[in-house]
Amino acid sequence: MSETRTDAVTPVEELAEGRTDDYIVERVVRRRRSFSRVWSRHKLGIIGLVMVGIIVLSALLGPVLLPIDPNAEDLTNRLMPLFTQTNHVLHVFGTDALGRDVFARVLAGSRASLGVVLSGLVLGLVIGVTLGLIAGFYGRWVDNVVMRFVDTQLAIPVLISAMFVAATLGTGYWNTAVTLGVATWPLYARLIRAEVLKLREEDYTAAAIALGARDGRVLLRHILPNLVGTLFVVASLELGTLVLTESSLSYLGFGLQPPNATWGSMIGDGQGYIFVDPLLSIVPGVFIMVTVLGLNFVGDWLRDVFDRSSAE
Amino acid sequence: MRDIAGIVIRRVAYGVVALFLLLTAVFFVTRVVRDPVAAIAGEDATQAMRDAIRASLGLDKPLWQQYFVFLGQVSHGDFGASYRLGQPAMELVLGRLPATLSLTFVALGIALIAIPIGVISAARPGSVIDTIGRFLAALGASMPVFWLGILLIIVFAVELRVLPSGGTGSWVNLILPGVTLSFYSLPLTMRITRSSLLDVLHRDYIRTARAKGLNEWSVVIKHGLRNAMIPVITVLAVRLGTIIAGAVVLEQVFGYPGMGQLAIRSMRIGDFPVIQSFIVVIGTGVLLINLLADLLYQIADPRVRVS
Repeated sequence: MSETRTDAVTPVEELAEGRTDDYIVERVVRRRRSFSRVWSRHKLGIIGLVMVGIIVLSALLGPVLLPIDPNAEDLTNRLMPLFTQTNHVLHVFGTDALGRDVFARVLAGSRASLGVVLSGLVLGLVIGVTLGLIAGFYGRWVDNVVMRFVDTQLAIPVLISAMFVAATLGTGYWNTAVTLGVATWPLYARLIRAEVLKLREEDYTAAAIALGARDGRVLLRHILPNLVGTLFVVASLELGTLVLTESSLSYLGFGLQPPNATWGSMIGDGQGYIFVDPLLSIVPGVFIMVTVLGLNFVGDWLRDVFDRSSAE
Repeated sequence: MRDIAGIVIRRVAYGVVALFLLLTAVFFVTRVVRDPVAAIAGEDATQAMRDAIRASLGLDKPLWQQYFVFLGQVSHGDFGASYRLGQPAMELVLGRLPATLSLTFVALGIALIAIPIGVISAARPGSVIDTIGRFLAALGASMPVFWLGILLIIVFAVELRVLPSGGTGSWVNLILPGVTLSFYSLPLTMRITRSSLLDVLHRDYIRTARAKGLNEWSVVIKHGLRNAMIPVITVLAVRLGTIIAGAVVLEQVFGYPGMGQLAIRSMRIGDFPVIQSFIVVIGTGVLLINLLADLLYQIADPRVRVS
């Protein structure tokens, strides 16, 4: 579009400048086409943002909009179907085996699961990025030591090392967050190290070192800011996997403990009642799927955007 | 071929170092963080009973002594006896290995249907099959797979009553767990086949093949797919660890008596010898598979041998 320089912006202005009709038609069509291309490129990302937004908002606003205690038992109204009204309370998704409101529990589960996963992500990133920066920047034996630890841990699938850490640390909110962080740091460390190896060769890094900047300053002011794009992409893609890992952990009983709800533990509790009330294990799974699908869309979108901008 | 031998030796050495570090890490983490005696003795054991158990397991000695005793035993292939069952831990784990492996291979076999779908997707991008396939792949990659297993149980075992919801005995029992487990690799296989083949189909030699007047499908399959399979195989091999981890979870869903069930029970009560044996078996398996995948890659694509 930039082959001819013109100050004209609209087709009308271009006509006034004496352009031929063909040229203008082509410009307009091209503009429209590129708009639709832009929309189709960003469509999934925006849909993903909306999906994640709905889940997050409902989790945050849950206690305000739905003032039902998710742990309140009501043994006279167990396993009620959808939209049952008991004691002037509407149970949108019915009640579970202890008469607790399933909708309130799913929203409480959203808060717990998303909170744990976010804390775990931040923790994993802090450990992984720090070690990755150090390994990539200092190289030699430091690099060797860090990378041997990375190799060692990656010999065990993330889910199994998470189970192992959870089994030794114990369960509960912060233990699960630590578990997720400890189980995933090697992924970030390996990636960041590879990026730092490239950035270390850049002229601006050499210039900063030549000007006498200390290592900490070079790392934090010249290298880290260039990793922000990569980190965003990885974090958003890894978040979805983390949600799935956390749900597996709490399904197996290695996550948050009863009576508190998480998505995974609700599926596990519901599994005992699939003959009576299959919805108990279906509903929380739908929440997980919407969240992860949304996060994956956002992650792919960010990768697309950042890759494009780095290519240019 | 000499460079390949060098690479193998280096990778095996790295693998041995990784396994050694793994064992050390597992040993110290378990013993520093958790006390197994409480779990074995139960709630109402007296202090004397606890001390007796501690002494009988050799857990009363200083940690570094325990570590060297442990290393000595491991070098003889002795991973200790299970605290819970009293039998040799490694034998227990290896005894459960075939069940888990057969489930894994059934799942891998089922996941192969992703390749033809990926091929059609890549040959006709934007077509109905491509759109549906990509949609399902995105959905499949976003599901908690153990939840999918429960859904399949609800549909095929509870509602339709055509398949058993779990257990063992015949190949019928493997259908639901196998199909479920295949979802750990199916969406990814489809996506990678598609993108890898799309990439290949833009190459010059494909244009040449088309210009020769070859039939379109023989261009796609013979000239395209063959060259597109390398990344698919590598990614699948690297993913095998995830599939085994998936099997561990799914064994709980379907009540399938494999390695995972044993491992999870052992982790709940802190049965260290079994946990250690399990981690070693998984770690060795994953490292071996990665090594094989690497070799395959180098043999299939001589260009990567330079680095």
